[in-house]
Amino acid sequence: MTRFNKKNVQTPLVIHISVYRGHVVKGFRENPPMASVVVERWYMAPGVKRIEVKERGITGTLFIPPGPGPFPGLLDIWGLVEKLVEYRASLLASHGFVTMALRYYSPIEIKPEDVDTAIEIIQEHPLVMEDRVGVIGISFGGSVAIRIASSAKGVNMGRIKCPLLYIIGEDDQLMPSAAIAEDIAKMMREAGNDHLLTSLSYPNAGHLIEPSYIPHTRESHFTFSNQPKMISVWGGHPKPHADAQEDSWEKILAFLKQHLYPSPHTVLQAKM
Amino acid sequence: MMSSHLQTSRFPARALHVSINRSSSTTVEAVHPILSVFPARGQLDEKFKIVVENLPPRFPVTLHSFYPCEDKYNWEAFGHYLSNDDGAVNGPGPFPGIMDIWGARGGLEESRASLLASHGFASVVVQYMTTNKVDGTLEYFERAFCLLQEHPLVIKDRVGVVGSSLGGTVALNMAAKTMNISPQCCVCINGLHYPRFKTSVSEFNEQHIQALHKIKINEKNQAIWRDTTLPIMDNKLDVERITCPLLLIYGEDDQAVASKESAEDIAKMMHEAGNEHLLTTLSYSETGHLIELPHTPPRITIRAPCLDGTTEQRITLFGGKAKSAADAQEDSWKKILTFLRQQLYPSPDILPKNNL
Repeated sequence: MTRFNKKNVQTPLVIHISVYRGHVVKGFRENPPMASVVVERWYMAPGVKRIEVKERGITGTLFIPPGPGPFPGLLDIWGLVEKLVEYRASLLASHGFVTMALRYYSPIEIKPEDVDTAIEIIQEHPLVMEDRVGVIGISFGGSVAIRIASSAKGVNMGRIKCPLLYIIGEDDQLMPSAAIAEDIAKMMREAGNDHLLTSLSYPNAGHLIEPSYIPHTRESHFTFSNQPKMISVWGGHPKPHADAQEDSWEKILAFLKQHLYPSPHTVLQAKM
Repeated sequence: MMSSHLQTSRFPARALHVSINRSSSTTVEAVHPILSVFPARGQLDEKFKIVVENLPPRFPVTLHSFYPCEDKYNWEAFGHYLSNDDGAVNGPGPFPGIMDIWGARGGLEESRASLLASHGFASVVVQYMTTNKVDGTLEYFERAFCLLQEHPLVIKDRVGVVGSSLGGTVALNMAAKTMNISPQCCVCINGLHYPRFKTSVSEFNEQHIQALHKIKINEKNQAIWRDTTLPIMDNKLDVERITCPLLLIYGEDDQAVASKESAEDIAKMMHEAGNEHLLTTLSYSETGHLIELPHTPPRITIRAPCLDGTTEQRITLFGGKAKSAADAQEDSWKKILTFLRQQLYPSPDILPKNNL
């Protein structure tokens, strides 16, 4: 029982697609198919560069789209895993964003200053438009992202100053995300900044809403720090979860492009 | 479209859009579906399309995807489908074969054969030139062809030949039974139906050497070889002896060889002989001698040997205009693939019908 994760994003997934005679449910490796093809799926579009970052106490991986730029920037923060997950960042770079996947070792160790430093590193990159840097986070990374958006130590949703896209799976078995989402909306309504909030809520989708076509896992082995191995139930059912990933990923990309890529007339004015 | 019952284990099969076509009825044993995925290489978060063709009607199949992971875990998903009433490559083989023959440029050019293999044809490209000397006895080509036929993954009686330029002339020689082999079909790109080889392809040299004085130099100081291949030789192929389908392709502005005149003569001879139903001719205006792979830059001129026995090279005009030639490359490639599939892939139609 494991989650899908490709550590090396510089090589493709190599997938074998076959046609078998009849309606069969097993024996795929024992019986020869009638026809078979091999398909590759890449995490990095042609020309995307991958650079390891280790400076000012920050460890991460930077992905840079091809072209002269400048590009908007993104900080990508994963959930509580003790390794650097790069594949979403590489996909975001493939869509035109200079993206850094941030490594952190535990929620105790990650300091707000570290996250600020990471954002500075992105902003200072010669290919990045420094006033067009966003944050994307999943799970615990999502909390970190919100914290950045509100520029405060405690999360006071009233202090959110930038557009926020908040996504939950209603069958999330790890945290009561529906309740949290409602609370966020309420706080922002009361603070008068709920025009910044867009919420997406997916019935029967679980906690791990990842980019399109990443296989759904309802539960998997999970280790953290020195804790004994346990099974974590993430929730979600295959089809609705898959639909949620496809739909949300499309909306995430549209949201990021809308808010981070300058519209044509803006660019003209800036350059003159 | 067909109805589907989809089961997924790990992969969300939402990523797949599947349409399955079929042909008419067939015996149960001999089903050769053609499976294609578009695009074969893409980004992880992009959809792809899977098409399964050449199945009998209402034929149950299981579509399966399998990914061996970096760690020890494997991921797979499968779905059950039924082909529709209209009905529509291969996996572990066997495959139809193609012998691919290039022109007098020397070396071994693998680009076309590798693409043909990507489209489901076991392909072999043979080297037959060393430095600037055209070599290659007829016996050499015969041996190469038989080697391909006898390969365990090749369907012995479904081996065709594709040739361009001098390779096209070799291909036509094969089709016209100059050698002891019989290709199932023949594609000739800017080749000529002369000379008819007796023992070796180097006999082509003799024609050139005698005609060197006919090489023209134009106002841009470019060499034009065309006239060295005119008039049409008496020692030409008996195209009446061709019994396999022939796809003849030429550029109307070919400045290297008289491919237009040759094609016209072939058509005339086959008409008189009564076998012109085997011939399909494709001609492209403003296109020269080099009709190469799609999306590669069209080459109007090349640097080539002076042909006077020295090692000098000069700019030689092969003809055509960039856009028309680029379009010709795209169009001809599609038509070549369609022709090869029609001629070489077994279709349920031509297999003995069962007694239902």
